[in-house]
Amino acid sequence: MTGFRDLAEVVLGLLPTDVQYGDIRVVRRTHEQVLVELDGPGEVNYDDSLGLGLRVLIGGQWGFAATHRLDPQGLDAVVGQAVGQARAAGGGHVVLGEPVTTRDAWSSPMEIDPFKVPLSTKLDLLSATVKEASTAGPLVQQIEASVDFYRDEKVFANTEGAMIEQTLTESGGGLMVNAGDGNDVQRRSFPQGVPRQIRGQRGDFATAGFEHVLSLGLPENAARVASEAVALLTAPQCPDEVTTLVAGSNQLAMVLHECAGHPMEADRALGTEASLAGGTYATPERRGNFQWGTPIVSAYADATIPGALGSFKYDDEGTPAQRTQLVKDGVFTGYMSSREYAGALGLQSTGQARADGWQRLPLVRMTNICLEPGESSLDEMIQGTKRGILVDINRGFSIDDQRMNFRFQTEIGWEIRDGKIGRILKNCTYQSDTPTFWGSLDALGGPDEWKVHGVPSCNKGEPLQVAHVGHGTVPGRFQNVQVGR
Amino acid sequence: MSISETEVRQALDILGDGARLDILGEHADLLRYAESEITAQHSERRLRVRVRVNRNGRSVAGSLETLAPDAVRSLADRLTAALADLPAGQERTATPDGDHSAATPAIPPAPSVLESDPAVRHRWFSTVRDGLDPSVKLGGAIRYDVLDRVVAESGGLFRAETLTKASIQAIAKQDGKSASVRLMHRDADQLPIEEIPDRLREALRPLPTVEAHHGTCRVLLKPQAANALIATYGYAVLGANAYATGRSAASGRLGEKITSELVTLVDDGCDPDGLPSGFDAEGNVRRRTPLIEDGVLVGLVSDRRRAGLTGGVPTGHAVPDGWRFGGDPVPSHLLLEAGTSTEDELLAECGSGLVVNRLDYLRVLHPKETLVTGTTRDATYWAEGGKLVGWHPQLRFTFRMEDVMNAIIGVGSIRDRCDQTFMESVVVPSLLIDAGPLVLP
Repeated sequence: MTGFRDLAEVVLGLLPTDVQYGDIRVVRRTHEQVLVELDGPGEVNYDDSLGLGLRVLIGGQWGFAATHRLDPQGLDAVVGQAVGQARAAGGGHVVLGEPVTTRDAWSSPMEIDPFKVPLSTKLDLLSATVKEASTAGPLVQQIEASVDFYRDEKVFANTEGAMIEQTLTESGGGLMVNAGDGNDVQRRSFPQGVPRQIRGQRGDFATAGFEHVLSLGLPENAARVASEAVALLTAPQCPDEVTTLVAGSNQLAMVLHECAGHPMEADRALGTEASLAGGTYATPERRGNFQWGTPIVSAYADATIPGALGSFKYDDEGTPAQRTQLVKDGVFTGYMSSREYAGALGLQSTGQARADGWQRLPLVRMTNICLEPGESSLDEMIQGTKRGILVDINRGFSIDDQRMNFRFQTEIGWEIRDGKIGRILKNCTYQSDTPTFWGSLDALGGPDEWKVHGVPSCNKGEPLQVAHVGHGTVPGRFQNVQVGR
Repeated sequence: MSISETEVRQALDILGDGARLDILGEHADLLRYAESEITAQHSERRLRVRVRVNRNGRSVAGSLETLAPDAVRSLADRLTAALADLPAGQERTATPDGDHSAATPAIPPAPSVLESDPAVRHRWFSTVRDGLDPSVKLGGAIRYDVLDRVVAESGGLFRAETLTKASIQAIAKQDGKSASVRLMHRDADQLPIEEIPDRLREALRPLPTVEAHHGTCRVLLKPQAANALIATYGYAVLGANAYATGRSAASGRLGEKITSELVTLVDDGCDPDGLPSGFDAEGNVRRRTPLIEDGVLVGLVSDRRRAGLTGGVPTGHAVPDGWRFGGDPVPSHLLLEAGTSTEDELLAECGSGLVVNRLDYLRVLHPKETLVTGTTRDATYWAEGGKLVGWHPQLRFTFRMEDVMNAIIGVGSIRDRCDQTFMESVVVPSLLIDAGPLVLP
């Protein structure tokens, strides 16, 4: 990345003297997607994006500009735009805290470079998956099996002396099956679901190589997943009742994302996401005294977990990856932050400033949001439940602008009767609010069941940014939860 | 137009037979604010070159940030190699050459957006902030977009347009209550910025907070709330592929009554009441497409693949490759016909019920059943005897859109223009929903 470093130094050299602070990110993002459908290959896509983003602070006010034009005229223009914006704002009071002066280079580890694996190997894997899924019969209407690979090569440099090179490689894959009988349509996904109708970018992702995709067992699980989609067509509706809810670790990943992840972003707590996402119940005065859940629950953000999708060595401000406690023994204790928002709260950055490519401004983003494991197990939770439902794989959700009241729908549920799994249930939803739900938690799976789920589709900001995040979770059991259609 | 036709033709020559380019030159400038202070400014210039090559029943795609011949040649080599690895399959685009003969609609860009500078956005921000009481905290964003678009094919199709757009969102908070205004137009000079403080002040009306009501009642959806409903309904129900594959609630019901007879809905990319754009990602001209007339399903939106459902001609609703909301054709410019009722008349007819200014985070739980869930946000009021009497606590609605669309008993005479992340523009009036399908938990 010598060329990227040179480019960064050239741009920093163009900054006028009234710039208090400036940083530049030069990023090349490569993305490959292969998708196979019921009637054959549906998509082979290669994306390549290269550009730079420049951020300057003048008089305590930010300006940011990004461009794909890396010629001298493009560089002059991007400096002019960023500086012009910051000056036009007429002053502010951004404080960044301790300077970042790190010089380092790092690449995420992998065993098999996914960009060197032949297309035919990827097509064979996905075609075998689709073939297995299609054995579930004629009610299977739609199958999508896909793999996606990303590589970010990026250089970060700032006026404080930092120069950091990072290369991150991410791999993921998944399967989605829709079954229909004319009256109803039901979906099953593996290893996890994706909200909305995104083509590809399905399944489970990791900061790893092609070995991660091979470990998912897509062909091995395809027939079961498709059969469940067909079975759901004739399954009974989830009853409307208040009952015991046992949620698989996959399902809890998204609940944690919405109930602890977004609300505990410091920029949100300070009101800067009001225009799109909204505010948060986790306001600064509640830190350390808000009872978020039962004492058995603790949650943290950790960007140092090897192979997890939200892991890296430095964030997009050069702050080292780290672990940050968010909830301790049921009490809300901490925020995810960047230099700016940590400064506003009188804290040090927790290293969670991340940008979606070169063209976006770094925001406070989740890394890997995790539950500390408990002492139970999924089997014990089921055996200890007289009447309830087990749910897994998220199908959709909605949460209010303060991240309190929510409703989640799952792809599949099962009755629990007298400690045993019973019938499949369809259209299972559950509704609650954050502290009530987590306050009803009475059991969490143990360390053996702790798993990181990689989600490549976390949305935030304006313009919208998509982040790749991880969630380390275990199964959990919740009492007195409203479930139903 | 900053995208050179010569460079586009050169790229198509390099890519060879069966190539299509969908090119976006994006120029966005944004000012964000919170707690009445500027929090971020953003300026972005990028060129997105989406390439698709269809050859011998096989299809591959890619994207670049440049039209430089070396880069295009490198991608072309990669795509050619990928095509060789693919098994021969059914051609996914039924009419690969597109409708060359139809003229590209002319949509002039607005100089007010093309020639903007940061000072204009700062002036807008100051106008709104300074027009409010100092105790009111202002949040939101002002955005200017210039979008150069080209869709061109090796078969000869070439369409180009430059679209401009200015938008402002203003969210005012006071004493734990909030109100919002969102305005947008292709021409920044058409936005009545100076009216925003009055609108926010009126919405933040000093009424008491009432106890939450439970059960069902009439609900008046003001245009911003109706916009979320109509856009989500159109997205889930009115696309030709969802219809053809049985995933739409309307599948098999062309010619049947599917909503209240007060509903007449069209998709028209050229109607100046919306945010016009002349052609879709395949280069198909956007055609005025009646969808629902007096409650009867009369049309769907299509791309080339599903043109058979729309008289053999695509309606101009192909979505871009890699679109995050799916690959199926969906409405892009919905316009709901205005009714005859004034806002006061709708409120009077609502009687005792809920008035919702904004529906937020409306998400589809079951597309076939049109089951959705979402929350109210910003100003939500309770009315008694046709008068607003208090602020109602925010609440969650979970409902079947089909039921709500059938329960529309009043349509306002004034329409608002808005957008959605999955739809370019939606133009709707207020809608009065009869008691029944919307239940206050």
